[in-house]
Amino acid sequence: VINLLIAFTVVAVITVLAIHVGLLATVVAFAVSFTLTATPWTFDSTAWYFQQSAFVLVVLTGITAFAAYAARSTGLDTQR
Amino acid sequence: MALLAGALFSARRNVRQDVATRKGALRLGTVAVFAQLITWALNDPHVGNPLRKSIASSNRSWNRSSPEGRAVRHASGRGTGHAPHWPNSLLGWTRLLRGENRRRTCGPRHAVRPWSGALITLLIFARGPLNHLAGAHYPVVSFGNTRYFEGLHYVIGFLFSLLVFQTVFNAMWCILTIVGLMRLFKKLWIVGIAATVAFTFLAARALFIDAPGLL
Repeated sequence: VINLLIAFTVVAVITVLAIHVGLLATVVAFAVSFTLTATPWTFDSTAWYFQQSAFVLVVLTGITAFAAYAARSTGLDTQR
Repeated sequence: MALLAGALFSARRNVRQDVATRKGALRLGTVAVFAQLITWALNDPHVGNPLRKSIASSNRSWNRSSPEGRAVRHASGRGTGHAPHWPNSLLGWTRLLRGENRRRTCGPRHAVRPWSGALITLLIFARGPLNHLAGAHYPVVSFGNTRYFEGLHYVIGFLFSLLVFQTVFNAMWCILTIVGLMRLFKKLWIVGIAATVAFTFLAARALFIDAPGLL
């Protein structure tokens, strides 16, 4: 039951995103979720797979920074 | 080859009818081709790479003359006498492709929202502790994608594949289904519930597999 409830909640988040926010947001949500799940995370810099973990962290941080930049846009430069 | 031929035919037709967004299509095509090359160069095995079909799907999805495009147009009510039901969902993406990512309409509501992906992952990871609290004391096995251990080259190829194709494919099908449901149900909240139920049963198994391919 718990698994089904979590699956339902996760999918509800995706559905709300797709309906109210947009395709791009849904794409990024999928990408971030898949990446977070697939990555063998470590903050131990001596670990032999630290490079992979750090790289993904940098990429996700970059996407988040761009999202913040886009969200803070005033829209004055391209407003028609 | 049939998909490629179909995409070429559709692209030529759209250009001749002057309904194509050439700048966006060029940008999308350039990104798609280079992303695929990078993935092929960095990831093994090359044969059977899902990008082969995903790139065709991406191109077709952007093409209004393709079967999917026609289905979306029909589902949206265009050309059928019904009021159009295009969700706002598609607007942010197309505006970003046109380089208008700084527009207000593409910012707070339509820009990328990585926190949603993080929330989804948190919910999935909460499954283990919640099951434990409920009395189900079995180990939750989760190794992630073990191919990450092949090295950084695999991670880069995987991210290009993921960001450009696999997630777009999944999200496109979500939007297509929602637009179709809008033709069946007039109330948006009913569409939301119906889509959630449908996606849950389609995706429930894949949600807990540590690999891309939700739907």
